[in-house]
Amino acid sequence: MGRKILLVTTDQQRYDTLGCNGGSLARTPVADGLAAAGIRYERAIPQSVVCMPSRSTILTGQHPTTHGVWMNGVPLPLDAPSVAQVLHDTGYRTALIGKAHFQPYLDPFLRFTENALGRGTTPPGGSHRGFEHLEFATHGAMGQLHYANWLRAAHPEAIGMFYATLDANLQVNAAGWRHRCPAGPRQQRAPGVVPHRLGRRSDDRVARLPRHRRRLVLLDELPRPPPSVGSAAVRDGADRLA
Amino acid sequence: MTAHRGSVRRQVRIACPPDAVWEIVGDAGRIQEWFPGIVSSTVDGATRVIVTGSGLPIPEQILTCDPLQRRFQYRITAPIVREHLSTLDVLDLEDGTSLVVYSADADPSTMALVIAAAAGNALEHLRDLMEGGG
Repeated sequence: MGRKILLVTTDQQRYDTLGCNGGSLARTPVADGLAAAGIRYERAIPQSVVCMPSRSTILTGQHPTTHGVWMNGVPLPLDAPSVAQVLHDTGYRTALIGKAHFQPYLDPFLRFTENALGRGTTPPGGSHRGFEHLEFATHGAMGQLHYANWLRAAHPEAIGMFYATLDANLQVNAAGWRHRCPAGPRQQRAPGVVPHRLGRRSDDRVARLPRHRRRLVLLDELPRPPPSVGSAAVRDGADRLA
Repeated sequence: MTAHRGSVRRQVRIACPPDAVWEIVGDAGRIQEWFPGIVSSTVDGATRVIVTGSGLPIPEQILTCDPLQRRFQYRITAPIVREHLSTLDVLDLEDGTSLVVYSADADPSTMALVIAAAAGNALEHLRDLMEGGG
């Protein structure tokens, strides 16, 4: 057996939120330590800025134009190549824990394999995309996946604390895009909340703020969707699954 | 039509007479037999409650069940949509085969795609069932 491999991916995290990449707003000593002891790939560029295409590229080694996941909501074919499958076939024990999201999650009829697998951790046939053990999560407490089930059972008080990924029209992340959506954050004191646009100046500007104002307001000051429709109702539906 | 309303249609040709197809799809309480992802249904008058594979109960109002036109229409009355109408038509192609058309209109539009995409799978499953391949 070769060396062990742990691949950690984060979602919606800019490169400059890490101290090893120049960030000063948050303390990231563990990642900074890994960087100091290892290699920072400074010219690594994701093949898509959107999460499903980007993760599909990590798994398959293919460009989005090849694996076909050109946008969120487009499922990665089940027969797409998988680095996990390659490792599994050579004798590695493989597991995927967290947000896979290779397939759409707005799926009440469980059309997609990964949503159906959410109820268990061992896939039929022994592996799925090369992973033997699966504990799926998606956005907050929504849906029937492993993490959402755990959250609803263990910390029901936290269900409403998550960023509303879907807006009232079931559009993804619409509430977070102030420059496109008039209903965006009302108080963006931390400039970094406009994703993928501002550089290191974001942190510099935050550093000049009084300490009591150094808070990221993206999560706690987003306007809530209308209570009667859309994402609130979807969350209600998710709650009923608990 | 509003900016957030969508309309999505799926269809399948089945090598069976329309009356035979209607016998299944026109019976509101048999939907779980041909619609993968629906695990059960209960019908009480014009109200049907389906339970999806994810465990979500969805109440519906049956609007039309017309054996002459072979048309079935219903609305989802749960607040997961602002507005919804699904229409199932079984058309006689007059050669011993049928065209089954499922249309979903919904606001928000995403739900039209979610419902009709699942219905598209269901129509293929129905075809396999009726033609003996499923």
